[in-house]
Amino acid sequence: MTVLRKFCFPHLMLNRVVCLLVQSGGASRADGSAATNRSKSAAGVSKAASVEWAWAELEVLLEENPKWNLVMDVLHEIRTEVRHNRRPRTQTGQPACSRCGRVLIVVADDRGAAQLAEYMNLGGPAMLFGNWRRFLISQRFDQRPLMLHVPSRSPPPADSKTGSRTPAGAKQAGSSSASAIDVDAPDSTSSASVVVSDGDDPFSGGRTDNAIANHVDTLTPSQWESILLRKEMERIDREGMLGVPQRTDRTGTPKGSASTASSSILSSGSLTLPASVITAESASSAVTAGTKRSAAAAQLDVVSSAESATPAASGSKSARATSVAVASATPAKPSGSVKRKTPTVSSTGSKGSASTPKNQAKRTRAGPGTAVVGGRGRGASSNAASGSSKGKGSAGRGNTGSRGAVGDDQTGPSLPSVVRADHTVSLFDPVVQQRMSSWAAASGSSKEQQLRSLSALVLTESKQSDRNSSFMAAASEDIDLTVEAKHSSPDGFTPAPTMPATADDDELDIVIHPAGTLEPVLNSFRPHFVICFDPDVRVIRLVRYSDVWSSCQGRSSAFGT
Amino acid sequence: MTPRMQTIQDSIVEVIDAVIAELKGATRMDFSEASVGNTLVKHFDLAIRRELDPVWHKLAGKSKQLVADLGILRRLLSYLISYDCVTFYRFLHTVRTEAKNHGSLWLFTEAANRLFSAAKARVFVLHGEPSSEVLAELSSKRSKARRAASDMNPTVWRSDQYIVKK
Repeated sequence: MTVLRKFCFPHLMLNRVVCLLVQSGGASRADGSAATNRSKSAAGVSKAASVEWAWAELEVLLEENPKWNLVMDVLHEIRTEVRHNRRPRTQTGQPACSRCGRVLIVVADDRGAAQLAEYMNLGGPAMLFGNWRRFLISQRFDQRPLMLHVPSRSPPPADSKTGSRTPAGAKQAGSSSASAIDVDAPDSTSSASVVVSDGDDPFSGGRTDNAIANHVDTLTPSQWESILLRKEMERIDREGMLGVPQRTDRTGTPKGSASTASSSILSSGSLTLPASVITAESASSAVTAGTKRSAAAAQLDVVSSAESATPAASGSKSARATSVAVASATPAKPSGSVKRKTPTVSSTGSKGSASTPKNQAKRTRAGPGTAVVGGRGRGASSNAASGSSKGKGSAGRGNTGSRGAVGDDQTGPSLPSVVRADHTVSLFDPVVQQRMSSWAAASGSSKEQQLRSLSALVLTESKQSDRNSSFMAAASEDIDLTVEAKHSSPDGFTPAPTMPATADDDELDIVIHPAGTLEPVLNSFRPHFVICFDPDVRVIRLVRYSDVWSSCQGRSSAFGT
Repeated sequence: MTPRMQTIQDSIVEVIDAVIAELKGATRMDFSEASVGNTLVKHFDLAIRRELDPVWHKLAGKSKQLVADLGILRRLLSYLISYDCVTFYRFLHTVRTEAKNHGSLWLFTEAANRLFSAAKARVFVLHGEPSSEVLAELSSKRSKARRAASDMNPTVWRSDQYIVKK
């Protein structure tokens, strides 16, 4: 017993400190007349219980990292410069000029690379919201409270003096309940222990809502926070995450988010994104913006990786089925961790290419360690002979044909409830489109609602696979957004666009790479511009490049080529 | 940097200074390199570790813990400017749990409080009066929960909710 108390004591101390911290942030009192305290009723106190800690709402702010805007500015600058120096392209689509913009962004580590690529692909709000959702999932509100600082409300029964001190948090403000326990001494310990056994872990097991409902009036701020966050997660699950990204969607950098959708973003390492976030956000952005660029971002293929065959490769993803690929390719890692994926169904009419066997063939050709994410907005080609670098374009391709297909009228009763999790779901999959249009024809909804319903559909799928596997595995719902092996063209890294170069076509090929293994990328990619994103990145090795941006040095150009 | 990020950075630097001062007191050594100015730029934790290396076996556990804390705090500094707010908050969350387990003292400083609240405020904010809506929902849930079987699985419950909503 003493040992137990000894171990518990710093814990309790900490609890109190954290509670006071939150309390200082701004507490508000209110009367919860509907709720009654069980211990009070046991003690015969008929006073209306008071809710010490209750916050009405949870505002999700999701502040962007301002550095990303800076990168977008720099990219914009580079883009205008390249556009100024632009020369016509040849018939095969190869840039006739030797000076097209190849930009290398050097970041500190893999995670930074993944985040930056995610930001450039999705835009800031969507990316942050995906992270937020993953954070919520990872906290596992079903299993435990978000904040573990649940103050023990029961004094140790042996030590009455400690007991009079310990009621922290909830019972501090409402001192009447604490005194009530002390008053009727013999019975109070038992009733108080009841409170603790429920209130200790309000989210454990099946007692969740019972516990919340029974102890509304004794909840501590951290518990309130947990509850609200849990509600937020439920809301996200329910509404398909369309609320928040739209609320904050276009507030953040319009230039960045507009330009990033079409800029070709190549990054090494694997991106991890929740499937439903991508589909939902891209669908909504396609609807709201309606431009070609954002629509290109909408055509993310949802690829379910049949990851069962790769126990070593999957790791944390072992329980997951749904995945999103911007470009359907997998990392050709030297460790032999080859992840199997089901064939990508791509359906964009005349422009659709994405023949996965071809991709896989290329993947095997790729050298180790130089895998790069291909999130290009335009690289798709229907020409199979036009070189391996074109296989990566399954992410964004022109969408006019496929959008037309959405409007087709086909009568059908209802939205399909389940999309099989082990198959590829593309937003522009003909099957999905057919279902969508039939559902739309039946219900007479607009195209926006169709897209929403589709995203809800994908979300449903991911939810169900969540349910099938354990819920805890939902934390690893992350998907690898593809890593495509590139650079098999002999002259380096010129991914040839076969789409006609329009005015808003992006000239830049962007590679985001961590600073550690820079040499192969430098040799194969041969960038014209280097942006050093993190201050830790040393620029010294890069001096042979013409322009170097560094976040700590500003622009330091003219190093000489 | 946004104001909240600035707050976070200042708090971290303050905590670092406190930890260094504590370490100086604990080891009675003078760390010339670890001054306030260069905490932002240098690998000061490695420098301190290097200086302490000759006497590392003589250090108390508390001092070693302080050195480890310095490393973590410095990593927090770099994460602050590298990653997004959610990732940072998540990492900070982990750090706090770890530090709590190790009994790190910097958790109890005022700057640490500011750090945590600012990092949280970058992600979400709880504010407002307790809405009658929440309370009503909770109370109705209570009555419902009392009616229903007490050991209902939350997963089942939530999927039920979803279907009903749909």
